[in-house]
Amino acid sequence: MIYQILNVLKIKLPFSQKIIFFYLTFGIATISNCQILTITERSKGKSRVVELESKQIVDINSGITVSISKKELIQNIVSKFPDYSETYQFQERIEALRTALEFQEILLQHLEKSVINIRSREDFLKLMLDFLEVVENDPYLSSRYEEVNDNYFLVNREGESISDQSQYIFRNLEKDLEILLKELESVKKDNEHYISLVAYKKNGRGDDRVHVENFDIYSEREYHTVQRWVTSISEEQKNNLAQLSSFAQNINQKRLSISDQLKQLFEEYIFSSIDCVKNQVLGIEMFLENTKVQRQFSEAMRVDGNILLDKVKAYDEVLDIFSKSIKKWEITTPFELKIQFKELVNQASSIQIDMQDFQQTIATVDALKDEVNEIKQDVEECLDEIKGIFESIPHTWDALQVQQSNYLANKQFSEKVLIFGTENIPDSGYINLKGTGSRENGDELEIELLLRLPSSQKDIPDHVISIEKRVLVMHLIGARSEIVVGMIIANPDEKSASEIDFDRKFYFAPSASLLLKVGSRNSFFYNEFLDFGIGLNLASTDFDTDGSPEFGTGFIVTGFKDILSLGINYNVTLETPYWFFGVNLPFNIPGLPINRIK
Amino acid sequence: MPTDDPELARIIFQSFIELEMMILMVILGDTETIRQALPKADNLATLMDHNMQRWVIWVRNPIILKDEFERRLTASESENADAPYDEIKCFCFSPLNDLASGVILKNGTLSYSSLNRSFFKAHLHDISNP
Repeated sequence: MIYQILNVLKIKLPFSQKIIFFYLTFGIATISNCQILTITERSKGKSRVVELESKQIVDINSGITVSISKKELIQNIVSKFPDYSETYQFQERIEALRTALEFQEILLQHLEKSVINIRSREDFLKLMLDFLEVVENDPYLSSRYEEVNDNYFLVNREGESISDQSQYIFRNLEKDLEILLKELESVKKDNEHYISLVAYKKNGRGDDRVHVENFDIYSEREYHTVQRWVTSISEEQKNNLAQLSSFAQNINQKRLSISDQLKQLFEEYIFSSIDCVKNQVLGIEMFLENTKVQRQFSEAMRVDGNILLDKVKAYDEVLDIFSKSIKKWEITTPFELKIQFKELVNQASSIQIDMQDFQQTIATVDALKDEVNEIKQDVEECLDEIKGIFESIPHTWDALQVQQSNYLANKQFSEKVLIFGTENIPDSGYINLKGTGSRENGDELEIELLLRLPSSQKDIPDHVISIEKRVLVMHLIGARSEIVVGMIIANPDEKSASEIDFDRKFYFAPSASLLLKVGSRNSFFYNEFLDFGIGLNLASTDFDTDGSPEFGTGFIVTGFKDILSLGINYNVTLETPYWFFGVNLPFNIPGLPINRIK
Repeated sequence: MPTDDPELARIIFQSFIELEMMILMVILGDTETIRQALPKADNLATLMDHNMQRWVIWVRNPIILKDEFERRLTASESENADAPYDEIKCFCFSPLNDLASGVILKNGTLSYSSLNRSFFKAHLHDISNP
């Protein structure tokens, strides 16, 4: 609203203030929320539009087409940045003119034919009607067509042909196009902005970018189809219980945030480099205070030496301040940091040059030649080490960015995400979910349309504004099988086998189940909470507690993500039936009762 | 066209419609928009298209030839030809079969593009339906 008022009052704001006003406007006024992105899921040869109102669930092995409505996109951008409306008005007119001029060549060819037949006449008339329909349907073209015709008929055109009139009209439309293109160029300079479409896969194991055909030049991840019919126990499941402890430890480590990891990384590097610079300060001080050296020094040499010492001391202090600030540091502006690193590298290079000059000056005094060479070598080694560290940190950082969840910063870094204007943005992009690497039921696919406003300053990233975001949840839709391992608590039939010790009512036993499950396209509650399964259970009980497991098999029903289970089995070894239930929670909790072997 | 002599109007119309190789545009009514459109239709009628002539007749009082025009409009299968006569403000007769085509309704605009379309539709009508 504020922005609109300013626009009406013709108050022009600098770019940075435009951004602030955009946010103010965004907070106060209701922004047009028309749907720009249309998501179509293609699975098993069928296509389905994922409506905004429906559950945002797609098949985990499907293909996703993301279509962009240019009209809605432009409306959305103009509603946020009214200053851009002029650019879009020009673009709209240019597009209309180009469409009209597409008829020019073929229409004029028809008109210039001296010999005509019925077929070509029919073609010409149909084309002419199409052209005039295009003109009538566009307000700008329609008004220009009227103006140009008015001008054409200002003089008497008696005896002239439709060909003459058409040539006159097309000539004028061509001129219009040239003028508009020039005007658009000048307007665009002030209102530069681009569009990008990005996609991310999000889950508890870390986020990852997803290749969107037509919108980025990323390569696809390893091709992975989530298997619908699983009938064997994976290695992971075999080791599941045994590894829970170390797994939890790993997870805990992974939960360090990216900023914590970076702080840790920088602290380690910077503390070690500070020590090395401190040693150089001491070395140069000792050299300058040495009485033997002082006797050989000219006044100019002393001044040069002190200047060098001051520079190294200053550099040491800069590193010191930098390392202390890291502990309080919030990582929000990675590019500023990159600039700081660059500055530290430049300063180190400058000191190296000064050191070289100093060494060359002192080397003229034979008695000091060896000592100064040694100092120069130490200083150079130390500064080379620091430069190497500061040059390598951004690379390490980038690697961390890929693995971790700070995907917003990732958007800023990536040059592989293509930029488009509204005039050349592709109509649709395609995501092959099978090409997005490993994924599991419940993983999210985030698709986001971004408006990028280039910074006026070099090395500062684009301002990125989210125009529309869709979050899809991936699931295996329809029937599937799963193997689940866990612990069951079994209650054998008291009337059966005599070998069973009935002092105890329940026995613990590891088990594996082959479950039939159904993924729903319409219910998050079912997929993520109820998640019922029915199937076969194989259990390794030890009812006679002799230490050798018995084999039992039967039916099982599970629910709530396999946390609860209930079933009936038959112990084939002891020929006794039993019922069981299971609470599939971490079973390596200390103190959990297990069967004692007699 | 005369406004108060139906017989004379019919004779004049008949003399035009009998001519071959001519697209006849009929503009019905006498309003401000009609008067603004007449010079445009007139201008377009000056243009030749491979010996095909274009003529415009202005029927200021549409009632005067209502029966004749309604009969011809009813006989046509062109778009909007079945609209009530009172709703029509412009149409053309095709050059050979004299069938009504290129109908412009009263809620449409009479611009260079719409009038030109009306002429071309009438022309195409006879080629597509010989």
